[in-house]
Amino acid sequence: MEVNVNDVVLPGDRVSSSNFSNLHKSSKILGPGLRLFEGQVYVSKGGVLKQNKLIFWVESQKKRYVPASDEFVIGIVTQKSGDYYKVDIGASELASLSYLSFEGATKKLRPDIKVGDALYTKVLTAKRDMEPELVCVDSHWKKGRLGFLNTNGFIFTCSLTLTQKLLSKNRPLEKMAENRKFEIAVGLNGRIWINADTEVVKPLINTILELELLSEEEINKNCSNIFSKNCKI
Amino acid sequence: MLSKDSLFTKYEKTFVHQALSIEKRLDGRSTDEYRKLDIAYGKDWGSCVVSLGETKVMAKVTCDVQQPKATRPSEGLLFMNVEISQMAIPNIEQSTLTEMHTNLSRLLEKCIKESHCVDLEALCIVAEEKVWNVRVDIVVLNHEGNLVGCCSIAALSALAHFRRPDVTIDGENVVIHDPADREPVPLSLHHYPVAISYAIFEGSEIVILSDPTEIEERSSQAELILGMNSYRELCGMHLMGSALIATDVILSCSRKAAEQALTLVTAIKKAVDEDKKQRDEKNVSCLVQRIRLDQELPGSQSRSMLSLKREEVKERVSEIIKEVQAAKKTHSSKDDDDDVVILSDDEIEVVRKSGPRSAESFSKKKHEQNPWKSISNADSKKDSDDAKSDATKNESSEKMVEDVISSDEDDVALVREFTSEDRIIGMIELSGDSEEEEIVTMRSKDLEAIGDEGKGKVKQEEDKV
Repeated sequence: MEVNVNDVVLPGDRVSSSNFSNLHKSSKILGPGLRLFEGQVYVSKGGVLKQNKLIFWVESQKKRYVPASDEFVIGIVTQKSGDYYKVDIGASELASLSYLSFEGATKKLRPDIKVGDALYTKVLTAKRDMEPELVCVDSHWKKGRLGFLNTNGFIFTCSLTLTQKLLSKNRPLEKMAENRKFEIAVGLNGRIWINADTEVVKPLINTILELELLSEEEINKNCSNIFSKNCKI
Repeated sequence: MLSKDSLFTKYEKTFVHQALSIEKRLDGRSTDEYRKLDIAYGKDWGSCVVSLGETKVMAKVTCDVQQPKATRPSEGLLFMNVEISQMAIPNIEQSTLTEMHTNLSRLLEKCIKESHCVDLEALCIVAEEKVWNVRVDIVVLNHEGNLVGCCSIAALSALAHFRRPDVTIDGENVVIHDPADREPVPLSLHHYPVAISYAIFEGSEIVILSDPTEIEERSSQAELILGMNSYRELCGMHLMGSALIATDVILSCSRKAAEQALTLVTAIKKAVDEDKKQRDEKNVSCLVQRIRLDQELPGSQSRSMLSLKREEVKERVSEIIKEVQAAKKTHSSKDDDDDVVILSDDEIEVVRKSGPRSAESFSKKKHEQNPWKSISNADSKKDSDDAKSDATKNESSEKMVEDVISSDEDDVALVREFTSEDRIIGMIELSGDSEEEEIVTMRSKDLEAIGDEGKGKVKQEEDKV
């Protein structure tokens, strides 16, 4: 079936060429959920077809994380093997994280990370045929905000779209933080770590889960209200 | 079930313990509180879906004719089968799942089969030759804690609902009647045993949680499962985990369980009765009808404490409308009376000076409540404000309330509806948080407006701004 931008699409649908007609042929960018096959653009997952200038993609309520390079994720160390940690980031495969990709780590001075610890990490490489590789440092070998997440915090999962909403330009989390103090790490793999007073954590989780069904605009307007209301209960 | 498989165990454990130390559970329940139990029957006899919070289990009872066991020639057979798959519990290893499955089916057999709740002798057709074999299939749809409890409720509600075809024996001929020809007969149950599970946390003091969620089960030291019927009889007990518990803890648990069992069994019986009533009215519902989108989405579920029930909203709104109308009456009568009127609790003063209407001053302290309503908490103020201004709009108010209500427990929509209005932002300033006092003077025409339209409140706020 031929589909247009803002349609609900299913795998196998063909994106009608009229969508591209007012663009230069060489300039369109296909985002997640679209692929080129014999000169035609086909949909490869269910969702809503979206367009922003040259970029086309399919937006859907995903729960399964597909690693992409340069994304920040929360991983749980599941194994130590040789020079690598095996880290679960919710993807189809465990990611690998070298002992050496921590700030100040050397062959002799290894980071003190145990199995079961959570790490805020960055995806370095994510290829289809290889296991993803993570790092806990930026390009200047500084750790910045990456690294071990305190075990006093609480981790829960949510949909991937929600994490994207939380990290959007509107900065809803900053608005919520105006009233109450909390520390939060949002991984794009749908995991959120929160460290705060026990009284704050629950309303915060509730608020975040409630944002799931609101549009960006509504989140922008209401998130701090919802949060303060949740806190009172 | 105790499964130590989650990735987040380390983080969850500390948090759950921390929360319990200040006597709080993650979902805001009290220690003895059960989650919402929902029993939905299907089209067939003996098929049901039971949900306990977000734990969901389906049970289905079927029967066929078989030869009895040689040791018990005059007793029917009862077979229980439990299925759990990774669809219900993702992120679990196969080995743990198998262990869980064995544990669960053993506990259910102990609770239901070995407590002899089904009258097996009534299932005999011809001794040593033909008996009914009743089979209970239980499928776990979603695991969110207290699986044993939910499964046992499901099995029991299915058994209580099930009807087998009627049988007549004529000499040597056994006739099994088609359900269309002759009403099928229900099973006879001696008693109703349910499994009640407790999560036990050891710390400076022992904390016991009933109906634990999955996270609570994982972070607890031990789990105690008690089979209990409505006559306070113990039908099975199982203690898992490593906590060292004194006998008095178990005793107090069993006392609590007895009461809990009674409420659960009453709920099951009520559900069976209701279904029978529905069937008498030829109004048989399928399970498909019970699947509603607004219940499946994460944001609309009861885990959020914010959710108000439909009825609650309706009640509150109608109450407020009444109050507004009553207050309006008193207010208008007040205008004709004395110079100074002091309402109850010194809430407000209306001072009338020499001029007939010109110099009425309306003083009001900011943190105090409005004269035409007496609702204390800030949340209801929000609602009431909405209702009050709507009350004058009559039909439109109803519509708006309907809008809010039609969102069907979707609390997010509720919040959206209210907070998007400008006046709500004004209301938040009015809430009791502020210690600051402010005296507002109203013009006489504003007072008229109150009398006429009841909109004075909004204007008053404008004045303030």
